[in-house]
Amino acid sequence: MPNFGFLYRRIILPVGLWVFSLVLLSVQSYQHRKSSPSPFSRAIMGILSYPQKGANFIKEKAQRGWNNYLYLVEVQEQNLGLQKQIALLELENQLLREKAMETERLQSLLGFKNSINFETVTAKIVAWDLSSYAQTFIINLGEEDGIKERQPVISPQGLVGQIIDEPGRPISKHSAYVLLILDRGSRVSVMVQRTRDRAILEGIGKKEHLLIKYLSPEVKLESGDMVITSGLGGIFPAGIEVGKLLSIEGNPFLSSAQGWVQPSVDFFHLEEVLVIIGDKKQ
Amino acid sequence: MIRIWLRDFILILLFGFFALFLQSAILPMMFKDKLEINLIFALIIWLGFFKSTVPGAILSFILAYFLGAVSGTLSGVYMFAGMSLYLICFFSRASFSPRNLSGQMLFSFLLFGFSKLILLLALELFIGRNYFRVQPIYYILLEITLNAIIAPFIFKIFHKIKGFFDLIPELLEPRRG
Repeated sequence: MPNFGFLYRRIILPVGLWVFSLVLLSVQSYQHRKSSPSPFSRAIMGILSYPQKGANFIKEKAQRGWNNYLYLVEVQEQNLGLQKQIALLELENQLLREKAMETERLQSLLGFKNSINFETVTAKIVAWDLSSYAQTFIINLGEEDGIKERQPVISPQGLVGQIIDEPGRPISKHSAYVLLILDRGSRVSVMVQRTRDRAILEGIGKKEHLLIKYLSPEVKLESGDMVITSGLGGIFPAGIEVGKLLSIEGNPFLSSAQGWVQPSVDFFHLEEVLVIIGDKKQ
Repeated sequence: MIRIWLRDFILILLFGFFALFLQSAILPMMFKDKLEINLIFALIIWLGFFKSTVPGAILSFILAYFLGAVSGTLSGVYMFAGMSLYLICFFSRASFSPRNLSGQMLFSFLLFGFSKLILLLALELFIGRNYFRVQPIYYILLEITLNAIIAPFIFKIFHKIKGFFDLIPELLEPRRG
């Protein structure tokens, strides 16, 4: 015969608790259906309400926290979207600013173009020569635009160079090379505007200086004298501004003087040029 | 001996409360109140199958009571369903005790189906507001299946918790002899 402890553990306790839950449920159900609950049931419900309130409190807090978290996630997504939009607008703004500056430059170029007596076409610089040996750039106009070898290239600031057509640097249908006056192979016949003394201007491969040679030793030149094209070489028309005289020095081995000229054109910031394709406007 | 008994009891109770908090506060947000993931019933099944009688029965009773308290309906309904579940597990464990995953899932499926039936019947009998029509049948089946899938993992977690303190060397009994 099983002892009481065994019975208690194996049967009485589990079944007793089950019966107790059933009784409790019946009592609750009875109280639930009664129109006016008794003070006892009120007390029981009062006690029962504490864990319910506690759980509801935790539930509400957790729900609020979760909703806040979801809101923050949404805000973060919105933030990322707005940052992306700002970046796009900044880029657009930058492009528009660039367009405005380009328009300004082109307007100035157009004004200059109308003021001179040459037939010109406007060209855009599409690439600069990357080597340090040659001073050239490529423009977006070629044979089909009427570009030919030895045509002068100018800007509103002054003389830029000439079109070249040689092996390795040919004129194509829609592009051409421009040899700058800075190049070591460039020679330009010039004269000093004030004194009308003629000389030859050579490039030395630097954007800041040009060498002016074969000046008369008796010439009285001053720093800041304007140097312009003389028109004698047959390439560049006369009167185009080239640069300002910086200094002059006598050459003991030659019966002439030479000096340094600062080019009028800012080659560091050049973007558009004019190519002179004809002598006179029609 | 009593110390170990009490330690296990308190530990399971605390984790049970944590499960209750998850069940009543966190999981409804994920399932939008449509499906009830019942971690406490899974724990009661575990207690019925794997835990010794006295702590198992008392813990089941307490957890079922608190589940009822937070359920929003008559607390006795959940308590009665929980205790019925415990009783079935407890009396059937002598004949079979599902050890592998698929067995545990299958038994959980049957037991959750049974507990759902008990709950609905109890609600119908003791409150009587046509609770059978609250949830569509496919939702009920989906809920039972989800609970059956989750239950073995709850068993595994509580198997681990049971031996949790034994991992701390200071609490180990000194060897004798």
